[in-house]
Amino acid sequence: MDTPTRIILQEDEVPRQWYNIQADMPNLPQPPLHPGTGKPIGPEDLAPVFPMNLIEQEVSQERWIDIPEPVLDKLTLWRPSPLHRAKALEQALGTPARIYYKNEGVSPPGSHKPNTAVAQAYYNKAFGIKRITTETGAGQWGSALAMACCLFGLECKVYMVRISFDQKPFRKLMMGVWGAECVASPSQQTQAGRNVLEEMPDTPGSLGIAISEAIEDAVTSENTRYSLGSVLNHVLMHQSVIGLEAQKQFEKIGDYPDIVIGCAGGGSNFAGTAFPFVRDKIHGKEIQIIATEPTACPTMTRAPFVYDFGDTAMTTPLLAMHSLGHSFVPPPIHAGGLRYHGMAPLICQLLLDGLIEARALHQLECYEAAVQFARTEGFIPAPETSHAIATVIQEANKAKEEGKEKVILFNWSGHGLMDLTGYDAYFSGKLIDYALPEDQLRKSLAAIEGLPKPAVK
Amino acid sequence: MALTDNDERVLRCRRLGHSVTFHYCRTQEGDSVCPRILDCWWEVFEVHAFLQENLPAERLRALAQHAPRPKVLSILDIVEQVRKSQAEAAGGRNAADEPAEPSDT
Repeated sequence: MDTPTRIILQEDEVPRQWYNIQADMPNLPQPPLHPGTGKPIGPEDLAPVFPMNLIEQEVSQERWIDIPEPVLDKLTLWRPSPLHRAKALEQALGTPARIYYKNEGVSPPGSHKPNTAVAQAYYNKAFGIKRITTETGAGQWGSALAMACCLFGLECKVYMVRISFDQKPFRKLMMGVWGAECVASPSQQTQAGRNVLEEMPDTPGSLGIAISEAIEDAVTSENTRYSLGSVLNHVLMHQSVIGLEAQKQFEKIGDYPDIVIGCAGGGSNFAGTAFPFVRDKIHGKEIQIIATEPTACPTMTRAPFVYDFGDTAMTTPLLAMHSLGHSFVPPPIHAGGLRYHGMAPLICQLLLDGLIEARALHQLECYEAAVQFARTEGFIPAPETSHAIATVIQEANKAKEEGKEKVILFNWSGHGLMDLTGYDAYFSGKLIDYALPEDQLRKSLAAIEGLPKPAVK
Repeated sequence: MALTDNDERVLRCRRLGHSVTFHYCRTQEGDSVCPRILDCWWEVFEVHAFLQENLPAERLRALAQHAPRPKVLSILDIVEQVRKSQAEAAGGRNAADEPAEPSDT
């Protein structure tokens, strides 16, 4: 099938509504309970941190939510993003598969993150908020929010983890160009920061401390709210423009994906690409949807899905979770069930319901894939994006073996121009893959044999 | 296993978005290790054994029983902490600002 290399939509073809998957999910995640009252968390509980118009979106189960015109005005600075056909990669792989990627690296900060940053900045401004705080690690989210606040005339304060502040100076500078104040966390500017510095003046900081500082700042400052770049329902919804645009682009060329792939860190880039297609799947389309992640620090993969004890003493109730067996790795990998830090509950639920699947990849395979992509398609991917690319290559090779003309879509979630040290480490052989010995894994899993298995569709 | 034997090992931290050393993961908040240290390092080396050797049993137990919570709950926890410390500070300030009870003498 001959298709253009880039499938371009016009400005007026940007989706006018966000898609909220909660309206179509067969099962919704249980709402978290307020630790004080034991009742489900309500809008008022979140009011000190987020503006009410965003909280309404967080709890909304409306299928479609209109995108306000001022948000569309800003999104069209780079949207609609192009859908590329990766012809050179296909050729290099010798695959009959047709590989398409949504290029989210075209946004000013170079990733998908501004899709929600712009929306959040707008809603804060509409609510009368003058200033937004957030935390960041390497700075991808911080720079996206800095730009969004700049576009809407809001002040932005970013608490950047000290180790990242020192190691990754360029995104810090980007934030400065967009007028945001970026400080190393812990800082002297919050009580949480001062407490840490008093005890540990030389600490490299942590994301936990940075979050505490950003929230404290929001809660104790006038006309200020906090902003989060992933995990939350409204964030995932704002990203749905990616998948919705892709659907229009496929319609234009008369094609449709058999496989949709996205990398899942906190889940927003995966969700943004995949959720509109999950909707199609719920309504009968045959489509495979894969969330990818690293084998290091997996949140969705790496072990069979079983009921396991929550602790090594086997005293806690059985929980449904991905597990390596209670006798092997202690409970951090077990104890939260699928509600892991950093993974969106909506994605966990879709995984539980069998509507999506997860795959973990080793870092060397990912870098190899990223380099092959850069050397065929030209663009240098962010390390996270490379997980999706490696999965695409696996599926394209499988299609070749099977002689099938599979159509594969993935989200090229961002460029890697700020992450070249990772490539340097790869080229200089500093990266090593490790694998858990199979006998160790078998021994561990033997310990949980016979325990009840959860109903996974 | 000596405390510093593995400190130079490098892994990409998926939370921060860049490479970190094991030393960072075990010391990021002073002497408190990252709650995800076992998740991230379990297939790189015997991190559990390492921590058993180098952490007090009580702390290892706390780490092992660390239950990740939904993000929203973590946020509310922080809000609660902020409010509590504001209330304490206000209480302390009020006590200090209030004139002392006049003494009988």
